[in-house]
Amino acid sequence: MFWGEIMRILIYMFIIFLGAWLGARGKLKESFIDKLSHFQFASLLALLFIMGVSIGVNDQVVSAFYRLGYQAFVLSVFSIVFSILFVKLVSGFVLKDKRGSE
Amino acid sequence: MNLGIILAVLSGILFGLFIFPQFLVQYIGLIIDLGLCLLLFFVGIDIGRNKEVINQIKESGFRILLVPIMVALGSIIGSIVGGFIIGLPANESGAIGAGFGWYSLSAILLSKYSAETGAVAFITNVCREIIALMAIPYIAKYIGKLESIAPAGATAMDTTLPVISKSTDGNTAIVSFITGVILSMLVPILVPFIISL
Repeated sequence: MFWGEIMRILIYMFIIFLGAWLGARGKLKESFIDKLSHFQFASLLALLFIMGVSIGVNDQVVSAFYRLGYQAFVLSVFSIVFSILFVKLVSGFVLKDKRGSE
Repeated sequence: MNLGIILAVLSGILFGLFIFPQFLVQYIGLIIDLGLCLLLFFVGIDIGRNKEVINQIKESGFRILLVPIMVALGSIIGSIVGGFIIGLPANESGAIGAGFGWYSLSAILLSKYSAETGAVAFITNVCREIIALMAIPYIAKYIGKLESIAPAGATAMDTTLPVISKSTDGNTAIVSFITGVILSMLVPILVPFIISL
């Protein structure tokens, strides 16, 4: 599992670097980038939909959710809220211009 | 955009529950992997087009590591507080929080301790990912860009990275990837350690 995870990270890094290299070359036209942005958003929604499907079709998840949903919801909400608060404590030191824009 | 993301996730779950044909289930993993690679490629293009990204990341240096450290601390402490409310021992709830959203691995590691704890870890970290996908755009807009990485946890390097990138900017996307990688490396170390306490 460890080496599989390392391999997965390396593949993701390679794909992101490949995209960054293409983007940094500056040869992509603005009109193409605009179209790409719409395609990107549509792909994102499609991926999120499929990820939702993968949760919905998983009997193990569904049965566990009926049985343990309350505990899981409390634990996940608390871990999310506390992690946001903890990052908030340091966000001013890490990057400038940190406010959201969209 | 935000509503679209919520609707996509919820409609996917309902579609999977009631309509999706079982014989197609075997292809879901492949479709997700391919879609993820495509979206990470787009994230790369966005990063590459922003010339200031590398300079700003260099300027921040090791301070970037504060983000995964604080996400890890917040997740574990938050989970212990939540566990206290529902009556779970601190080592169990802390270990579940140390899954950082990586539901498959945290569940496997904790099922060696107890099947019930493994099941709670599994569904808690699935919940975390669902909530993260839907909440990230709102957190980025109303609280802050770096804070939007927090709910993602270990998934900040893959499944939630496209949402973070779309809701923030190239700098945050890079910090997100680094955060996800570090947290993913910590899961197999922290989960067995905390459960043994």
